[in-house]
Amino acid sequence: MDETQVRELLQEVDRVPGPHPEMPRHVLRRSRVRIGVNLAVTFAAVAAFAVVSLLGMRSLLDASVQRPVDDPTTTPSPTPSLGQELPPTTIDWESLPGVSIDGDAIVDIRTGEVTALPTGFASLDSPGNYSVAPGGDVLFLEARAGGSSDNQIFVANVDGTDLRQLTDTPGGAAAEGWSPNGTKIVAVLDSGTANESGTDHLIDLVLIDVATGETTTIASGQPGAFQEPHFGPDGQQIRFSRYIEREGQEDYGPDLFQIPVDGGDITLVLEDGWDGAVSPDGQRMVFTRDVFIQIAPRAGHGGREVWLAGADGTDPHPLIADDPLSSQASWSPDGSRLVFTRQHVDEQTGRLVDDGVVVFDLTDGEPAYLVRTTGYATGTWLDDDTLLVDVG
Amino acid sequence: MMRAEVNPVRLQGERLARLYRSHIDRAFRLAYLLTADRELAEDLAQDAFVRLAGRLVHVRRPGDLEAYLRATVVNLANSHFRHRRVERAYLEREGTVPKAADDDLDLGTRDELRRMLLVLPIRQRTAIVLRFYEDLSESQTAELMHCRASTVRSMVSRGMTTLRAEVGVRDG
Repeated sequence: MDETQVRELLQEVDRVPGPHPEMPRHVLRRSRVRIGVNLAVTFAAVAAFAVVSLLGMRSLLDASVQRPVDDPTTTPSPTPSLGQELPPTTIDWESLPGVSIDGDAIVDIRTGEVTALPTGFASLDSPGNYSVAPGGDVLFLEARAGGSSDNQIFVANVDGTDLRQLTDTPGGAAAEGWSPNGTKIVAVLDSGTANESGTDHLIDLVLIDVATGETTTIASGQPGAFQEPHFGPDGQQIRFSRYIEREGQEDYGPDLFQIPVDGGDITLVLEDGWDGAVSPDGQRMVFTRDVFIQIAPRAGHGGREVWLAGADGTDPHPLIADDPLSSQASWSPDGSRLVFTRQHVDEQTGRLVDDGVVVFDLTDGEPAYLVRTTGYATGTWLDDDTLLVDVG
Repeated sequence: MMRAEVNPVRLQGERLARLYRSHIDRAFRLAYLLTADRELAEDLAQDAFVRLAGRLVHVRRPGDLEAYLRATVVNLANSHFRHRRVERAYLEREGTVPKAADDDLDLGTRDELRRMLLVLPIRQRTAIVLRFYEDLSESQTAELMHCRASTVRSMVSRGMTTLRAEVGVRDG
């Protein structure tokens, strides 16, 4: 069965008797209630904004009349610390310095030099999802193997030599993070065996010893039970995300949890977060948070933002305000920069446009570099100034 | 200026009914492909329309309605299946597992389509429907499913493998 046959088969849905074209009364009634509630909320927000604005202007006028310019009681604005990035609200993405690439490449962000990936990886089928180990000597990646369409995990030196297949799991494997000492990979393996209800496969959250290939299972569950696993700050916990049902709430993303590396109780790190990666110094965490807004008129409902928090999940705040198509952030080895994937919506066509990967300087609190790509791209750090960019 | 048919202040019953007539069938068919259940699909499509009505103040062009409705149907279907998993886990703990949801026969549907939908896990099914029925790109599908484009590619690939295996079993 090929794509064309699947398309033809899906078109058979036109033969299913559809709903009556006339709107049922209960739908009309509920629609009117929805319209009324939303208008009331909108008007209330506008009114509140107007009141706050008037009060603010009044305060400013009062201050300008009563307080001398050199008032010694005036408190200066605090200088933002590394944990309190205050990014600009409007960013001219078009004028960011950077380079353009049209496929996987290695980019030196100091010089703009672009080089091809080592030829060793080209021998693999659809390689991608590269991640460089702490220390910068080896990396893992995923690629298809054995004629299957499922990915397996490979490791290699960053120059492409000593390429080894680490997994050979029936339903495929996905790797996400390195242990702090670079000896283990946390991964999710699809065992290929049906679960009790026979509706899907069981998956295992595992640690893989890179030197020996030995796999240790931490926990097992349904697909989606252990999404984007990473090591926690002390290397003794694995952080992952999963959806937890919230009574009475319609829009929400997955929550971030952790489990000890030797198994045990699962505890919540923070709500509404996924892909949580701890900084090299173990003090902070970058993660992605789903946002449920209309991103652009034709672009659908919902997006995702890159957020920062303390390593324990406290004080979560967005890296950049109002930038709802950013995700998959990772730390530079020295922890002073992040690289993340960014897209935007073309207002005219309503289509998603891939911008590429953005280097964000945490010291300045601003985006510093943009590797422009023609497809969805992710970045991983080879060293503090060099990126390996994977264009999907 | 906002167009009359999407201005909620001016949306009287007849205009709402016209919007409903224009969009409900497409929303229903998408919901059916995601759920393989005609009654459920009709409920989801109507729920999606109600939510659309509540968002009309944010919609600037009539063409935007379709994209919003599509995203809402996908979210509602996902929410339904998440809720059903929680419900199933509870019933299993209580020792009263419900019968498989394979008994809601739709006689107007070709068996092949129905078998194809039911053999796929919901995430793979959603990826395949959005890519091959809604003709969305991998990036657009990833956006709707809140995952990576590479994950969409993987899910479509796995889904196709499952379908080929299903065809092999049937023909073999």
